Amino acid sequence: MKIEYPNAIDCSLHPAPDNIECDVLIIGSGAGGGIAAEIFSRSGLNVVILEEGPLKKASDFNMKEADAYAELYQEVAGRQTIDQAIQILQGRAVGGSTTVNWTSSFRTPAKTLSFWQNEFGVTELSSEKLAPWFEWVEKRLNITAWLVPPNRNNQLLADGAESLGWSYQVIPRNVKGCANLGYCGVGCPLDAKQSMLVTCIPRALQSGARLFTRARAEKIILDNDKVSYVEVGSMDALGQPKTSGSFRIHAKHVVLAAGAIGSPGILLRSGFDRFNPLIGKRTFLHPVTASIAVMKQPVNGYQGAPQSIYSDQFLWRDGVSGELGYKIEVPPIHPVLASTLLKHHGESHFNLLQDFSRLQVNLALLRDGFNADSTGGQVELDEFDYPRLDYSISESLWRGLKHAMMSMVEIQFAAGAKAVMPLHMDAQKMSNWKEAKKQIEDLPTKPIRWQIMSAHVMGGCGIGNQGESVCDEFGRMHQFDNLSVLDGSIFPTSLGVNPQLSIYAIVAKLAASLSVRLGGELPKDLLIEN
Amino acid sequence: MNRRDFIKSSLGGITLLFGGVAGYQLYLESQERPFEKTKAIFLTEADQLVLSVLIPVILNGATDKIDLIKCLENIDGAIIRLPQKTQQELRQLFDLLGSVFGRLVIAGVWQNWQTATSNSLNEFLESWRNSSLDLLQQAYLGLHKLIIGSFYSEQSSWAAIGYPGPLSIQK
Ligand SMILES: Cc1cc2nc3c(=O)[nH]c(=O)nc-3n(C[C@H](O)[C@H](O)[C@H](O)COP(=O)(O)OP(=O)(O)OC[C@H]3O[C@@H](n4cnc5c(N)ncnc54)[C@H](O)[C@@H]3O)c2cc1C
Ligand code: SF4
Repeated sequence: MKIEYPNAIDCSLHPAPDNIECDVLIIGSGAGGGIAAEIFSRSGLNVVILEEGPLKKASDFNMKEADAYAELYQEVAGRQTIDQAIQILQGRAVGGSTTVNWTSSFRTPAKTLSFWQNEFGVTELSSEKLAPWFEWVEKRLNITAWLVPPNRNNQLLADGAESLGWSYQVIPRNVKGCANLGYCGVGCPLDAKQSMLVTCIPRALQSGARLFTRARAEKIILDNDKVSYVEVGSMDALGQPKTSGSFRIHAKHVVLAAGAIGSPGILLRSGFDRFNPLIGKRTFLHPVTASIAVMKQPVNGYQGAPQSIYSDQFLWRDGVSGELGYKIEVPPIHPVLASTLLKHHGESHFNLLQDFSRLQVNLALLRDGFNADSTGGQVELDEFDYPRLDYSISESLWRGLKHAMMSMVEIQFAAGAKAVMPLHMDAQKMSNWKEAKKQIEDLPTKPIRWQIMSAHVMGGCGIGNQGESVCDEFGRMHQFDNLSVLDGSIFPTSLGVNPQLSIYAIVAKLAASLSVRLGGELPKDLLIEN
Repeated sequence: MNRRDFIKSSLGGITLLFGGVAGYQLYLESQERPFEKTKAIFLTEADQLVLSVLIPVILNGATDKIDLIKCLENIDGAIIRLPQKTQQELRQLFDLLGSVFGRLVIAGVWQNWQTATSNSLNEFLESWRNSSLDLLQQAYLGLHKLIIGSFYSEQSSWAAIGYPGPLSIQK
């Protein structure tokens, strides 16, 4: 069935519209913006959605990495922290990062939510209060346990964990009619992934919401302590700002959902740091470290659901706020991503890639933000007013990275790896666990050399008590009645699980209550005790 | 400016400045893989020359016939989508590379291009990779990402590493 996108205007092709008025302006069409758009528009509110990226659909998705990175990712998938030590993957297209994410769907751990309650005074988002919202989202996006057998890449994680007696589980996914292709990261060509691109955004448009693509929110303009309007710039087909084509949107309420880095970026561009110096601080990444194994048999890690097995053996290894815990998963293995992550050249690079089809890769994502030493990064603006992240690696994070590397490599040898190499610029392939352990102990804990990545940017507009945070627990910015943040940037810490389902459910709950406050009438399925 | 003029003015000029002929030879040798410049938006002719020397070294082993033009086009296509600040940094990198090449390669670290085996270029890159200067390390990584990415995004590079490519989907 072909999905329709009525009321969508591409600002790279069209001249700037006249100034616009609406009830709710949503900036960003990703996980947070998508859910919010459906809820507001189905409540009868007049909604406008802005998205700086393009509208690309299943028919545009050709499963080629280069095209996807250029069209669907921030900075051609090469976004980095300022010191270039951490590579950041984020989406930039209708659907945001959900258009390119890997479909893993976890509820927020109860431990994380209690931590927020105890440390940040967030009582609205307890496990009990969120439970019906998780149920609503799981039904809406068809989130269920993935019953198809895992691909080899994932199965080997299970095998390794099994033989060590470590825990592992199957990952639930948000898919419908998934053909197990394995190309979720470059846009699902079958509309099987239930991303915002194929669910909530088209649903909102059918309910009358208007969508402007290649349209970037530049600045929020205040009139006393109320938002007066938002200044919008048009982008060209390359994603660069056009010299003409700016317009204004007047909205009764403005919702920031431009993702972490994006949302604080807009606030900083608007000079809001003069009201609240915490904007952009405490930005978290779930920093990821990886290890590469060469197996005897083909693994073909490009094929099949990218993530279907995880191990939480070490997620809470030292309690909630002690040493950084981590979740172990695997990434899909495609040629551009794999070849560019192997920071060698010439023969030695090609030798590593000779084993491409036999590579098995583990990754560990670390829970940052839960202890005193793990305070995250800080979003700043460059001289072009473009947001970027300064994130320095704390001592506890280095210890966590090393611990995680040990575990991942141990799993790979336990699963029968012929050789294993930590993803680190000074690492060598090792053929047994004892040697590898020694090497990992000695690996320099140096930024850039130790290759770190992130696909989970969170925080920067954290919720909590006034004076200690950017937003209240309803996502409203402190001191501003008609400005809210509804995306991953409101998290006061990272999560310990891949974030999409947490963003969906928390935003659903907050958007429903905001909708009522703005005079909207919630449809039946959303009449959930709030 | 035609090709000959370009050689004379940029490379020839630098070569003369440093009192050697190696640079000119270097350039002429690199003509074996025809250095047809592509109509690029970001990459200047000088950038393309530097890349046309580095690409075969970075991709050494991966193939015996590199489609240089395709690589250059892919690199240019990626750069013009990057944020303004990153483009500015890359501009500086390429300008620096131009001058480093002028100094190191052309001024006679290798007196003769024929003896400047890919081995010595390799070592040169390796020293950047492991340099204690962040700038050189970042230059290495920047070039690495652009060049390797431009190559492995092409279907023609996949067979050599055993990647069959995506199944074609019937809609
Ligand atoms: C490759 C990849 C794989 C992932 N895999 C998983 C997974 O398997 N499971 C999981 O749970 N999570 C996964 N994630 C993470 C998850 O998708 C994100 O955490 C989530 O989508 C973030 O939601 P968000 O609303 O905060 O921002 P996003 O979804 O990133 O949306 C923000 C949108 O705002 C737009 N924008 C930014 N600035 C502006 C502006 N000024 N004006 C207008 N628009 C703007 C951006 O272009 C973007 O489209 C993955 C992410 C990536 C990149
Ligand atoms: S694995 Fe499923 S959801 Fe992912 S791209 Fe393939 S069909 Fe789509």
